[in-house]
Amino acid sequence: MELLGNLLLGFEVALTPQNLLFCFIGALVGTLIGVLPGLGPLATLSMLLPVTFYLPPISALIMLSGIYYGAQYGGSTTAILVNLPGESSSVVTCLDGYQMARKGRAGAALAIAALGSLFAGTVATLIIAVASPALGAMALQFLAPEYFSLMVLGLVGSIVLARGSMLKALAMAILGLVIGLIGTDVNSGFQRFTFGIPELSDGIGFVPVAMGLFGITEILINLERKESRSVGAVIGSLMPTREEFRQAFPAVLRGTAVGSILGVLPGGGALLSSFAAYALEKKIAKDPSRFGHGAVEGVAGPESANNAGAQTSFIPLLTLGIPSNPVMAIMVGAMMIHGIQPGPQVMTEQPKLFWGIIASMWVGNFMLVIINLPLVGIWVRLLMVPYRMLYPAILLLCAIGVYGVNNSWVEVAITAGFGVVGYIFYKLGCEPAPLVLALVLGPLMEENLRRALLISRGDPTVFVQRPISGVLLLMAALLVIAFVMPALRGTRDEAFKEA
Amino acid sequence: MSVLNKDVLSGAFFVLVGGAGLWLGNDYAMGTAFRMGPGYFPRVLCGMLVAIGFIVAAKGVIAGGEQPEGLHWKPMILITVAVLAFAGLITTLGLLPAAAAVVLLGAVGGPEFKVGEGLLLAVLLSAAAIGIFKFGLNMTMPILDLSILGISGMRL
Repeated sequence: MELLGNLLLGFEVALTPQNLLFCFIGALVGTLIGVLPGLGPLATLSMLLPVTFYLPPISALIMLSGIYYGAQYGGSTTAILVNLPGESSSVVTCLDGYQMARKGRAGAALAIAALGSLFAGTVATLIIAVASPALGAMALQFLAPEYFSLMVLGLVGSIVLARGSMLKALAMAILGLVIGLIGTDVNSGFQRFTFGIPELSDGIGFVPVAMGLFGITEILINLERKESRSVGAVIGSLMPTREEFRQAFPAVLRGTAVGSILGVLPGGGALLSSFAAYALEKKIAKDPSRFGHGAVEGVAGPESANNAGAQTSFIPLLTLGIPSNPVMAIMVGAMMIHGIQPGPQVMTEQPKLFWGIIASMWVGNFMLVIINLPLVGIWVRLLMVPYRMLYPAILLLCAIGVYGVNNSWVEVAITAGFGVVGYIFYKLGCEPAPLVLALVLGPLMEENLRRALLISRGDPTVFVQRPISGVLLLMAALLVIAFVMPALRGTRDEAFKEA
Repeated sequence: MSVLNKDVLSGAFFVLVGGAGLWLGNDYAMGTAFRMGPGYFPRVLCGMLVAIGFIVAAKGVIAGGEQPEGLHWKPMILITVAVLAFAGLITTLGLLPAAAAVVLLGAVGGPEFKVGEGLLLAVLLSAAAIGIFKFGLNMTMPILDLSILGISGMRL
């Protein structure tokens, strides 16, 4: 069987001592930032981007992916023990996880979260391995019109799935495209919006914008109030009771399914998956009033879903070369640093890299269970470090990280600027994720649009006449219609309201 | 209640940015759909941004909406200054002063600043940064370079 051979190749790569080490480092760092509130995978990945320059590409990507799914494990620990989301995708875990902890079942909640995540991670890895070759084979036939339509679909997805007003999300996406225009026009060499500043002729980099909007803004929001954090809960036995296990298992299955599907969607990923899974569990429960008072399903469902979603969001990146969320956009950056153009050709030209990453996810998930369960006491102690001693370190890492990408002080200044802009967006209820995604996709979109229209001699119907492109645009249109309709819109708002 | 709710303000912001883009890109060559000039995409996008901005703002005026919470000026200004200080110092005086400045200024920006703790953090974190990034990863930047101040021979 081809799949088996491919996976074997992947494990050969993932199990070399060096890659095992970097997988472990990724899982460890992921858990660390997952546990610490106020430091998310996006900021961490951008900080470590320059560091990966010094590693072989496979090890670098294995480590970076480990950080993303590792953060899903760590986030639940803080949510359960301290009632604070260590990670935004663990927001809903606080609801029932902390209540379980107050009833003395913290250990069981932690174990269910970790084992549910492991199950979800295993299934998601298999889904990636099965789905990617098929999608990749299709993507090899893509020309400019298909790529343009695919990116439209991606952006539309990130807009309809963003929190808050869809109209504002649309404006944010367009704003991202406009920022992406800054720099030299690839076709004519013309300088657009550069104000004669030479540093801007290469465009505004994605890392300073993302680091400003997510890293610095996060600090500004956290500094608004004094922190109150107390680890009061006793962890207790890690073994779930038979009853808890019986309740958790079907929820893990459902969470895995929800997460696997929503992770692949453009704009999806861990965050959306956990919210949707919680809403689902509450909806189908016989007695919804148990939720918020320590319902086991309320931990098992979302925690499985966020891990599944974190992993399947790699599918669009690995097969189509299109990032589905800002974290994946950083992964694009990491691949580019090593001269790998993300896209369907990666699978055929660099099978070791491709299957190595997939196999490493499996390995990483097992490491994470060990890092998180027996060693949970260490992470709890880490939570005692107050935020006022933590954020100066984060700030310093952000600054050095941005500077390190291009050795450019201008990019550090841009980061500072976008920190303030992001803070104002937060006050105005404008979601930054579509902007960041659009910034990455913008230049590619313009290039493919112009190329497509050049081939078709200016005939815009080329986008609907080519079958794959037409279907992709149809999907985008359906997505918009579906979410503008009141029924689904209500569900979306409800899913986000749980927190 | 002020009419300046979240929607009105964000709408105005979008209109402003889109309008600025249209104005700045006024003389960029438009081209045709067949052979687009560098001005085609910017004009379409900025036009859309202005239009959506107006809709968002109009919605805010008609339907009303939440008032935005006030900005917390102290952390906002100090954190921004801290990062800008790093940007200014890293290429002139080197990593040590840049790292110390960003940590110290950043710490001052928090709601619970303590002088001793801030200084200690600055010392420890800049030492760690030099160890990791300069010696561990061999990043190319001076630790301390006083040549810009006219003191020669002080370049580490």
